[in-house]
Amino acid sequence: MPPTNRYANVAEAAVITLAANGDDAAFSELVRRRQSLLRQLLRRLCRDPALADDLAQQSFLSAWRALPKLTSPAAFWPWLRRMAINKWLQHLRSLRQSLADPEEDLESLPAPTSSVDERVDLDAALAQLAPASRLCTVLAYGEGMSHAEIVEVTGLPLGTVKSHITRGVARLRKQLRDYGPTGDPHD
Amino acid sequence: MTDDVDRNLMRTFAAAATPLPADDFTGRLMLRVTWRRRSQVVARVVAVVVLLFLVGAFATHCFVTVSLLAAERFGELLISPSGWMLSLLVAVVVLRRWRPG
Repeated sequence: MPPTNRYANVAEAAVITLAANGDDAAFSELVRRRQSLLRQLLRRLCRDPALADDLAQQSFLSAWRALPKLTSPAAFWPWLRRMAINKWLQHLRSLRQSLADPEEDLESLPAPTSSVDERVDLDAALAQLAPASRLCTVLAYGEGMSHAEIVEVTGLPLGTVKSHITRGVARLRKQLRDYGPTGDPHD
Repeated sequence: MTDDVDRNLMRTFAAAATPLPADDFTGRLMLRVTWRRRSQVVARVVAVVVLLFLVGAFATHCFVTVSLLAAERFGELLISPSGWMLSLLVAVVVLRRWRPG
């Protein structure tokens, strides 16, 4: 196992360049820096931590193979995030689901495990959303992506993305009891 | 982000983000990377061996074919009319020169 802390203080662009040239220690450092963000994104999308970690591993392995083709180190995180989202979409397709499918019957989804009086956390609230709403809402609010970027990543029409986000946010507002006072979305 | 946003919800997302431990995940991933790299090396070695085998087999085939063709031509010479004529000529010369007793 190569040492993993050799590049702890090296700038990310340099680490990415080294990893792209086949330096496993640099790639390990890259994984160390980015794994938490990627796993959290996938955990929010999947609702299953084990599956999310498996998809994250697959995404990093794909990145390891394709890294020499990455033209700009600055594009690494959006590129990796897109790979992870594609892995999740592939997983959905393998379950014969698709983002274009009609909304799931939300009543059929598992209810939050906590009681009504307990605080319902964000992940549990997100778990109540249909996959398309969850994806669009997480990308918009968790990742700070614009609607145009979400359209590009998901392949959904702009109007559909906006309606998924509106529906998702409305649902989250209902679910999150500790959610502070919300102003109306400003234009 | 320039689209309509709900700042409170963004803050909720940010607050809910807790760093996940890296060691186990990174360790398992790097084991897979090492295994993949070894698999790539093995695949390359197998590919080279198969290529050498194919080239060797082709060269052997060419040599055997050329040798067989040559042998066939020699055999053809032995059984051809010109071959028989040559044999007859040799026999006549030998018999004319041979004086028994």
